[in-house]
Amino acid sequence: METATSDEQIVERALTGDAEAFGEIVQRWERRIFSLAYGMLGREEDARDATQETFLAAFRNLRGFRGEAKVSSWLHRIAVNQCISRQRRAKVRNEAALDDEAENDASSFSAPLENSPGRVTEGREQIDAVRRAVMSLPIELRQVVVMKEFEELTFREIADALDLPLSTVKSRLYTAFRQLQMRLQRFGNEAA
Amino acid sequence: MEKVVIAPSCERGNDLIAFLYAEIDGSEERDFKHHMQHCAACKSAFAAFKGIRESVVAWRQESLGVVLSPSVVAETGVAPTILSRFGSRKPSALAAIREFFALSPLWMKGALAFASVLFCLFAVLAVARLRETPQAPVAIAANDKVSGGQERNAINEKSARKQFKDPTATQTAKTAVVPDNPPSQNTLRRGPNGSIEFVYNPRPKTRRPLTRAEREQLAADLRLISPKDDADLDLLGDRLNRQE
Repeated sequence: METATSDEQIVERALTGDAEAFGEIVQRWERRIFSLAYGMLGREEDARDATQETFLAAFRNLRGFRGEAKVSSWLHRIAVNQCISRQRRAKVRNEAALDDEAENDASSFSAPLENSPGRVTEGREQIDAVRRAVMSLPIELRQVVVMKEFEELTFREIADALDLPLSTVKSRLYTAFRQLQMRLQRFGNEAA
Repeated sequence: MEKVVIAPSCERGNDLIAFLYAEIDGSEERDFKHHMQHCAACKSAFAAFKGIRESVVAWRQESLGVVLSPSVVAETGVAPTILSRFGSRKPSALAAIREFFALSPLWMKGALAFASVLFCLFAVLAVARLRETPQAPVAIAANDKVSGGQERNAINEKSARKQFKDPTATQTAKTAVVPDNPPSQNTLRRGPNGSIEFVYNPRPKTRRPLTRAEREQLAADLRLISPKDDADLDLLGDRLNRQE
């Protein structure tokens, strides 16, 4: 990614005491981190909080950043960890976890996707079903779907961010799509 | 539980994903297209994945529609701050108005501009009309908005003092206080120690006769008699009053 070198330079500036440097990092990455958090958590408020917590954690651990990984990878890892711990806390507090809802509530899906060519126009029900299906994916699969679709990263960028081989990213995405297809079809069968 | 029927997967899943996202080399793309013509599993999976993608994109656009997509950001260089947009749950009124105008269609902007002009026009007219009405204490009394007696007296005293200090103002106020056809019986009178007092009489239902002191004061005000002749004054009205 073009900005990788610059990110590291900015972090170096922040480490030498430049008060505005970390603000530049936030400005550069907050949109992507928010998108990632939104895709992972499914709710705007949670995503906003997770984004803020991500940057707070990054700021607190700035001295621990040794430049071995890219800033983008570092931030992504922090964000994903924030999302996971946030979901765990929500489950502990018995809040309505979206992945549980996705397993239990299938009434909102009206038809299997592959049988409906005008999919987007079918409206909210279908979008809601897809959202629930994505939320029900295992974290490592959900992560690549969100990074691909919400952050619009390339396979190479995802691989760099997650420190994974390129082929693993592709195979995870393929597996994620297969599972989404199965879940959506099951929702459709149950609703029918 | 309903049975879920999914087409068997093909070993070229990674190529399928790369083809789906158009992240495949030219030669590999041609090769995979050729493969798909003969592989029912890949053809079916490609159609299903494409539909899922469209739904995920629709979800993203519905949820994050206010945020520019990364490709747009990259192209335009505009990078809206998420934390500032989403960090405050209640945006400022000014920001809300700006956003409203930014999102409004042209006809709505025109209608609002027209309504604003009308509002300003009416406001100017109202101010001009208010300025035309007299601002003397009578206006306050005539409106009769001051209900408390003490407040009323305080206002009266204040205006009387003001008139006494400023003769021109007194003259103007007199004109205003005693018009040809006064709405109420407010008037000024000279007190025993020579000070001018503003007397508030809120529109009596029946006209009462003037007392001797009032008639003397009136005569003095009209310069019909000099103050030293006050003792010898013999007023017709007084006789009339006595007869009554």
